[in-house]
Amino acid sequence: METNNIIKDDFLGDLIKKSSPDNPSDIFVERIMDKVQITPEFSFSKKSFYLYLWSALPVFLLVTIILLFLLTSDMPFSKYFPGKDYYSQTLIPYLLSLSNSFKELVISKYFSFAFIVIVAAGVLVVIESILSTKTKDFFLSKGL
Amino acid sequence: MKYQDDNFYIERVLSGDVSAYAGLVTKYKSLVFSIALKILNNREDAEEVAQDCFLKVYQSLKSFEKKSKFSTWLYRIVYNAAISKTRKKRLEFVPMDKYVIQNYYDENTPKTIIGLDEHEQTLLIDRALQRLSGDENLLISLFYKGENSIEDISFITGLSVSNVKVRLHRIRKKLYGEISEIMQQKAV
Repeated sequence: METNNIIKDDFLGDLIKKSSPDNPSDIFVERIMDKVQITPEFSFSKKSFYLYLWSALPVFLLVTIILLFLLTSDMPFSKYFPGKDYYSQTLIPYLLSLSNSFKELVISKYFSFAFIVIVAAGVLVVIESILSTKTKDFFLSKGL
Repeated sequence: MKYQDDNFYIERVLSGDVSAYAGLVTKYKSLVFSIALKILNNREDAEEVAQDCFLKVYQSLKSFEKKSKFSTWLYRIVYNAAISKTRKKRLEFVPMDKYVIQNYYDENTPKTIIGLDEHEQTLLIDRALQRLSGDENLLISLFYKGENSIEDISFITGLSVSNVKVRLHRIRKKLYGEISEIMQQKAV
């Protein structure tokens, strides 16, 4: 690096370091940190599995207490669960009638057209949001 | 003030310690602001750009690939943001040939500067730097103040490596010329 040596000038370097720095206002750092504090957390990918377990602990405790209560209770709670007759005689016929009414709606050409337009728009929005996030990350990673 | 290595702050921020980011901002605020100021020539605009860049960098810290130094990446973001703000495609580096370099590098200049006290040296270099254009000031600050390599400056500014070398060489000569002239005026 011959040219580097020509340019490298410790005397001038030291002299330039003595020049008055261009300092922003006194509250510059505070202002940035105020905004940084309210910026949403971004480091989920770095969150360790241990932390996920720790945050699930209250839910786990609550479920355990409820289960213990149900298992040790002499309340006839099993009577409140529907038997297989409920599924075969009530729920399945209800779901079938519901799907039939939807089927009639779907075979209508107006509905089909609107449905296709909405689905296509939805797909485009999803693709655009994925690409723009990736593009933004790419350019920022390159410092652009 | 003694600062930690950049990775120390980055790792802490990424592990959830938001306050560690203040260390990075404090460490680089002066040069980041300086880059923006030399391009924009306006303190308010420069501060706004510098602030936006620090926030942008914070939000995309996880995408920092560590292929380059953190400072180089940060300076490049600031440089591009400031250039965008001026609505120019690239900083217009004035060809050095257009300058009439009246003052040639005087071999004795360093010796006369050593004779000055520190305060006088600061005043002298401040005045000499003021005589340089914004782009000259930017290149020389990045190289001597920011201690960036030629390759880093090439990455930050988008200029070729050889172009950076030639410009720095000429700006250095010009700066010595300005220093000599200021000292001669002072002697008169």
